[in-house]
Amino acid sequence: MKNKPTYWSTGRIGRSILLTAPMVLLIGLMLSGNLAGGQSYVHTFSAVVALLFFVSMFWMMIYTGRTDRWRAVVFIIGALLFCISFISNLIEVRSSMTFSDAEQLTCTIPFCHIVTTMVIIPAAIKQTIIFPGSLVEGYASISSMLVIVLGFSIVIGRGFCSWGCFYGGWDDGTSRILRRPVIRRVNSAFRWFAFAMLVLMALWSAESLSPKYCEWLCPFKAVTENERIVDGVTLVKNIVFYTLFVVLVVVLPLLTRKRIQCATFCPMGALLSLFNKINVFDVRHRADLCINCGRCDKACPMLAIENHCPTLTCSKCGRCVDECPTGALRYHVRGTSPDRHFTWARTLYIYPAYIFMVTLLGGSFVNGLALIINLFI
Amino acid sequence: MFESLLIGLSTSASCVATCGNVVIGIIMANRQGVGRSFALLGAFMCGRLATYAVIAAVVAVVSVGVGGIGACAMAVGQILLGLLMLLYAFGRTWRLCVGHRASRRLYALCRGRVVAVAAMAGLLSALNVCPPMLSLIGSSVGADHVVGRFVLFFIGSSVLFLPMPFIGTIRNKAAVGIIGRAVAAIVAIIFIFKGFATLFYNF
Ligand code: SF4
Ligand code: SF4
Repeated sequence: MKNKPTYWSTGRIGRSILLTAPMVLLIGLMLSGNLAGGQSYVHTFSAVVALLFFVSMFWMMIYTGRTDRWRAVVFIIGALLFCISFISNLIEVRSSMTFSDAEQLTCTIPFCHIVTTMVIIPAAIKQTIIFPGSLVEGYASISSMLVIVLGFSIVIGRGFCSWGCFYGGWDDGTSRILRRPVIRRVNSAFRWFAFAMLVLMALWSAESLSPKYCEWLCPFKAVTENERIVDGVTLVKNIVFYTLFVVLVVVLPLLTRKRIQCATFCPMGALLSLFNKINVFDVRHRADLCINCGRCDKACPMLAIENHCPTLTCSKCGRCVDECPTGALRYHVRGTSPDRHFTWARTLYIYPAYIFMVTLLGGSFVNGLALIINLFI
Repeated sequence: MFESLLIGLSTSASCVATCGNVVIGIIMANRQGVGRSFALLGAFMCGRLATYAVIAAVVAVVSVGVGGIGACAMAVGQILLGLLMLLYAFGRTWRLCVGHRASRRLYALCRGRVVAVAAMAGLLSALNVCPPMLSLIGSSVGADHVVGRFVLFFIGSSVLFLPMPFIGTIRNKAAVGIIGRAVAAIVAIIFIFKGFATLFYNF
């Protein structure tokens, strides 16, 4: 069998420290608001723990040469702590996880990146933002989220789904619980269903001038915020949210070891796949090194591999790159040779991806951790 | 009369958002080139025009707006459109999903009748009276040239449908076909749900 080529820093402590050092500075800078004085003792302690955690996970990525394993640890814990921090913030501000008509009318609902798929058309043709959130002020304002998400997507494309999305960690986590899948074969054609969702939600929301996916179909309403049950319609909506969460985020990922919600249902994932087209990073397959073992097809949680080649819907999580025994799959910068410079291609990719991950998950990570510590002291 | 052309033009985007799902589903699921896609769009538009003509005739003759019966007709239209789209979506994948006999029949029913399905979908989707159409009906009651008004509204509101057949230029035909069928299936569920909800609220 062909040997898997190793990265420049794999197994080398000195080189790994060298590559990690700039990241220490960058993460420290990003968490500086939490580390600065004036915070509670617990909050500062949580920020220090977060800093050490983020840095050590990055170092492990560099030192072991495995990307997905360490990325997933940060991503999954980040998603859980995000929800804890988000819910506690809601309870603090409005004493409830639910929102009422009054909050919708005063436009105080935090903006979530998935709404991007529904606001674009009405914003373009009717100059209206159809989401009841604040445009510039407050927590998760529309403009700040749009800038972050679109900026992120231009740089790493659908990498957002594995490195930035604060929901993705849920089904990434549940899909890893069982060591072997109960349902072994999932037709990769199901991933196109997310594109149908994108088309429909964009048009349906433009027609009705309200974000239909958020109102009726988002599984993550179950772990963030949802509409207060005041009549039959809101009851049905809540039943739909919780059912979709259980089926798409817990049961199916558990049985298939695939990220079913992200791969087949999320309209934002479909939109971000299109960004993969204009993005400089991709995961490249080298046919000359491939021994057709099929490990990558089985491993890919996004159903994105066809004939051992990553396709448009790849979220650049790096699992296939880790799994491939011959190094036939590797991170790549378009326009460069995939044979040479593969260490640099990977480093160039994981740097911005990891920075974005800490940008999006860092603050809620610290808050969530502080909340948990406060429960025990 | 020309105000109806302006209403149509200014609301074309909303018409595309309402009925565009149906056209996109049909065109994409059919996986054909641009020419064939234009034929399907043409059939859909003819169906839509036929319904407009009937509504215009009713408004001109009876001189009344949309009342309880109108809402009922709309609900039935939505349910029928939903069923048609469901048939269209699954008629092309049924073979893969269920036992052979039922699937073969369903498949045979749809195959070769795509143009008819598109025309029928146009006919039924125009029954799905939207706010611009309601305002047109309101302003046409008791006015002159009612049919002319509806035709001009139809022309104006059709403009943004024209780029849709270019979906046929996308190279990954297999993916386009699957997305189209999924769109048709979800549209079907939405229309059936809307139809029953309208019936429920009116009676
Ligand atoms: S193709 Fe590889 S990098 Fe892309 S989503 Fe699948 S496993 Fe992750
Ligand atoms: S994991 Fe995939 S790319 Fe790597 S050798 Fe096996 S089949 Fe080829």
